[in-house]
Order: sequence, then C-alpha cells, then structure tokens
Amino acid sequence: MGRLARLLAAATPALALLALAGCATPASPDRMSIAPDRTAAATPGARGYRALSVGPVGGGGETNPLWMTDISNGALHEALEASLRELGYLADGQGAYVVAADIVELDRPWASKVHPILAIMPVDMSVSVRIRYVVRPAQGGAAVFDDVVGTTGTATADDSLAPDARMRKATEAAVQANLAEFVARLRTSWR
Amino acid sequence: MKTIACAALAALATSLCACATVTRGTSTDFKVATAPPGASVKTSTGFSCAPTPCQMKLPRKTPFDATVSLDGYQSQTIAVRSEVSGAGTAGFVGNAVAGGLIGMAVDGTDGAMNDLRPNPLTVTLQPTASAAASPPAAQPASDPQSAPAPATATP
Repeated sequence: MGRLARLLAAATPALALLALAGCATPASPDRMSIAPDRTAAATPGARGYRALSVGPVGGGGETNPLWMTDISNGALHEALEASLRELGYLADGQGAYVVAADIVELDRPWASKVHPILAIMPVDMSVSVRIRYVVRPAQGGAAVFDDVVGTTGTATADDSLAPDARMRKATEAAVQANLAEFVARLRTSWR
Repeated sequence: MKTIACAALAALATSLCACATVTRGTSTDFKVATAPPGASVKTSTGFSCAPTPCQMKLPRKTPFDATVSLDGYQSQTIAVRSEVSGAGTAGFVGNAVAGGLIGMAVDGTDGAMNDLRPNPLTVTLQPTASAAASPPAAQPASDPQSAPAPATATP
C-alpha cells in the first residue's frame, strides 16, 4: 500500500499538470483558407466573378493561451479574403459586392481543459462553428446572400497527440469546411 | 501518508470519469435518407448535406429542424430532438460509480449523454400537385432514383 500510495501521490500532480500545461494557440488564417480543390472556383462570366470584397468580420475572439483556441476576427478576415482570391471571387480593389461575416457560435470541447483524463487520452475532438455571411452590393441595396453556415471539424490522435493542438486543428478544419460551404451556397443561391 | 493516498485515490477516481465524453464524444454523425434519393437537407442551425443519402457531423446537444427539399416534391421539415440516450446514461452511471463529480458535470453539460432522434432520419417525399398530375409515362418506373423533377416531367 505504501508503494502504491507513493506512486499515486506522484502521479496525481503529474496528471493535473498535463491537463493544465498545454498552451492554446490561435487558429491560423493559412490553415483555415481554402483552394479550388475544396469547392469549384468561379469562372469568367459567372456571378460574383472577381466582384467581392471582404467587409466587416465579427464575433471572433483572441486566444487565451491558458484556455482554448479561438478564431480572431483578423484571422477569419484573412482566411476569407485568401479563399475568395483563390476561388476567383475577390475583386482587385473595391468589389461590386461586400461580404460580411459574423461568427455566431463556436462550440469547442471545453471539457478537455478542465478534465485531466481528456488531456491525456487521445480522444477525437470535434469543433462546430456557425458563421453568418451577408453579401450586399457595395453601393447599398438588398442582400444577395444572407445565410448561417454550420460546419464541424474533427481532429484525431493521428493529427496530434497534444490536446491543444488537436483542438486547434479541429477548429481550423471547421472553418475550412465553413468557407467551402459558404462559397458553394453562394454559387447556387445568389439572389 | 494515508491521507495523501486517499486524496490521490479520490483525485484519480475523479480524473477517470467523464465516461460519456470520452467514449462517445460531443458530436455525432446524423444520417439522412430519402425516397427518392437526391434531395438536399438543411438544418435550422445552418448545417447541410446533399444529395441524400448523406450525413453531417452535428453537436449532440442541440435540437434542430431539418428541412428536406427536392425539385418536384413537397419540402418537409422534421423536428430532431436531443435526448439522453441509454449509452449516455451508462457513461453517466460510470461516473457515479467512480465518484467522478467533475465527470458528471462534464457529461451533463457538454451533450455527450445525448443522442439526436430520429437518427437516421428517413423521409418519404410526396410529389407536388403538378408532378402528381403528370402522366405516369413521364416517370421512369424501373429506376425511382432518377425520377425527374416536375419541371421536366410536366409539359
């Protein structure tokens, strides 16, 4: 019992440290943006071809290293702009239409930050994000697109053994899928 | 020393919980099948998939309405509930046995105990009035999967 007690006494603080030691890093614009391999690019003559600018982006937050990965407004702005450029939608200069994006909800597995076992077990982590996109003529007028897009990204132990990195990857995957879905919906439901 | 051992045991027991969160996760694959297939599905929470049969990874804890649409058929909206499931309850009971109060709190609030119901969602779409009134010859009888939309079936 004495030996077991010593082992447990030593292991418990180590487990607690493992849970708390991870440092969260912010979602990266580079890893959130998409290329034409995710969804079809606009072609000359198509609606929206090189006609969009990125306007206000809101709802994001700065990452607290002691808590969880977050998506900053700047990072989402950058990722959205890069994606629209890659897909042939971004105008040179001011576009005829402006895209506004607002993160409505970011659902992260917060339990991994408060529960030691979730920090040391390689469980899959899923992050869901809901973003509202509104596309309006730059000169004013009714929106040609206004919709909330929800997507989920998942990271497994194959992606990373570190829980904080797994959460960041899941977050970035969720935003990547979200941008791809936004462009796909914009293409089909432009009013 | 005994006190330390007891405290360590209690802490370890606590840390071995959140069973439902560990074993089931907070998201689940939500599957949709329709007759005929080829429909698009959109949830009131902004998720979508198409063409059916298809699936989406959704948070377990959030109920929503799923709207299923296909040209030539009446759209249907079905309420999908988020309910505590048997497997989720088993995970929660696992917490109780091990004395994991943190695990209970985690499982109870992150949705890991819940399942979306119905899942899979199976929907039989009804043709719109114009499609139903079109001559049967316009509908391919051998392959219902390629049933044309009324825009093409109706003169």
